[in-house]
Amino acid sequence: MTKHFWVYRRICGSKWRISAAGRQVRYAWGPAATRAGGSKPVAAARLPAAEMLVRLGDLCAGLLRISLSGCCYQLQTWRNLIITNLSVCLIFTFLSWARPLACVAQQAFQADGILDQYNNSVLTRSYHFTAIIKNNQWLIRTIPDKKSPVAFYEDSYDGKYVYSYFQLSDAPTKHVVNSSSGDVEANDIPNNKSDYVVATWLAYGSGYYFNKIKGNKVKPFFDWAEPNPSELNTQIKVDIKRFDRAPFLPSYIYSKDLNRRYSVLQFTNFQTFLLPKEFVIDCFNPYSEKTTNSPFFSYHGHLSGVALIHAELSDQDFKPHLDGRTYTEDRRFPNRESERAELTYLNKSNQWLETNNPQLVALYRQQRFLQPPDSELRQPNRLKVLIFLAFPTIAFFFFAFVQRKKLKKI
Amino acid sequence: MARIFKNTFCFSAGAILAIAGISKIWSGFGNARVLLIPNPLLGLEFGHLLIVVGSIELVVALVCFFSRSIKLAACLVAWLATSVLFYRLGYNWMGYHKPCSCLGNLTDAIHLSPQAADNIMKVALAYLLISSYFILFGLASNKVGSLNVSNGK
Repeated sequence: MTKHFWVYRRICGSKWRISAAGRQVRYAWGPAATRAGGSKPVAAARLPAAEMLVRLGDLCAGLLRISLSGCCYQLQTWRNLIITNLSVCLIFTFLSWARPLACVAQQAFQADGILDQYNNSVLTRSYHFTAIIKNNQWLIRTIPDKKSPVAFYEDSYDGKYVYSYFQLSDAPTKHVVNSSSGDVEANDIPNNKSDYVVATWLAYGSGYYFNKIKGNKVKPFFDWAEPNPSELNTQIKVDIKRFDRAPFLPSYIYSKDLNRRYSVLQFTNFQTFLLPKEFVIDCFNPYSEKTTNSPFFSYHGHLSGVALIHAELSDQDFKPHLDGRTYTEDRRFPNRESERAELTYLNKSNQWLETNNPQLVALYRQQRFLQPPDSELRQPNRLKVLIFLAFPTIAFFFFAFVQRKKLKKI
Repeated sequence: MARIFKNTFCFSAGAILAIAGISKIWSGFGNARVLLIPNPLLGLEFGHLLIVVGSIELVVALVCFFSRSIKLAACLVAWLATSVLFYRLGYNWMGYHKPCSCLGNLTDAIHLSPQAADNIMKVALAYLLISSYFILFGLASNKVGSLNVSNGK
């Protein structure tokens, strides 16, 4: 009995298919592949994953056998009967828990596609995106289709920091020192200025982020370009639905407060993954609760290709590659909530500077020395604000009074 | 000519303020969650603020439409426009850069983005400020002129 046949029989489990399976494993996988919506080659490619599952099943069956045989010795007493039942329950719990556990270590994959940007339902810009995902790490390259001042954008998360980078398309003039711009911060959602990447991230790279979420409060990834650095830790309430298969990506997210919605319109099977094939982010009027009117802004994405990455990817592969003239905004240091804690510098190397880089540390200390901590800063005074706002009214009353006096004198 | 200009000013300023006032009051009575958020500048809830400001705008619009005194109408419009200008400056002072919800839910009804509505209201504010101050200064100079003439007699 071949290994492939063994795998097939375990999964399909019907005797009449044995001969077909014995002859040609790829074809034997046909029905199973059709059920899942994939093709024969795709189904054949599932074999290694299926083998892993079978091994896991064998392991569990072995454990069950051992526990049952062990317990059969002393079945005379009620105590032992309870122990037997408990061990069976434990094994079934393990089996139900093992399924998501099997997907913890994912194989890296690459998704390519088109992202269209609509303003008031009119197509205003198209991008080509490439997303590389490996477990919790992701790198998304977004290239504008038409000629634009930006040649491409790269946003990534290396497991520790979030990077956002864009390369200017034209050569810089004499007075401009940089030819690219980059942001790095201690976070695990896309940079709040990178609105073009949120849809792609939700579609392919957000599975691990949502695994960590308990409840319905998430970081403000929908509130792009809005939150000040001080608001990055403010969580927003959303309704979330997720796919029940790896990489457990969200299929629907809606924020009532922002009136923005992400939804997957079509999905596709790839290997053991269930991935969005067509997805959309709709931004409705935030001052209303309606989602029936056409959105004033939306991103519409289509998957055009997906492939496994067999090469080993290191952490460096999940950092944008710099061109040596990058204006950098760095928010990896303590007190990053404060805008003043942001370090800005021109990075003339091709690598992102480490936080222990002597020059960077010196720059940080200098900035700390020049600027007082938040606690020493005066908060906006409400009384001053009220006086400022009341000034026109007071001034008008004063002039009216003066005018009346003048008229009386005349 | 001056009368036509004054009539045009009264009608246009009244129309702008009436539209803005009605949409503010309409939005203020809505149930959007944003209405419960306190205004960053005044500390009042957005819903309450919209109703108060909308009512004031409606009153000024009525004065513009029905008052015989152009001076009163121009004075009220100038006061209101200056107050709104200071409100917006106050926003900028505090570093708050979200679009102003001057037209409230009306933008949703007429398929207008908040940013576009904000830009329209900025243009309207500029028009109200310039035209009202222009009329007030014009009236003041006329009055001085007429007083000088009467004194000469």
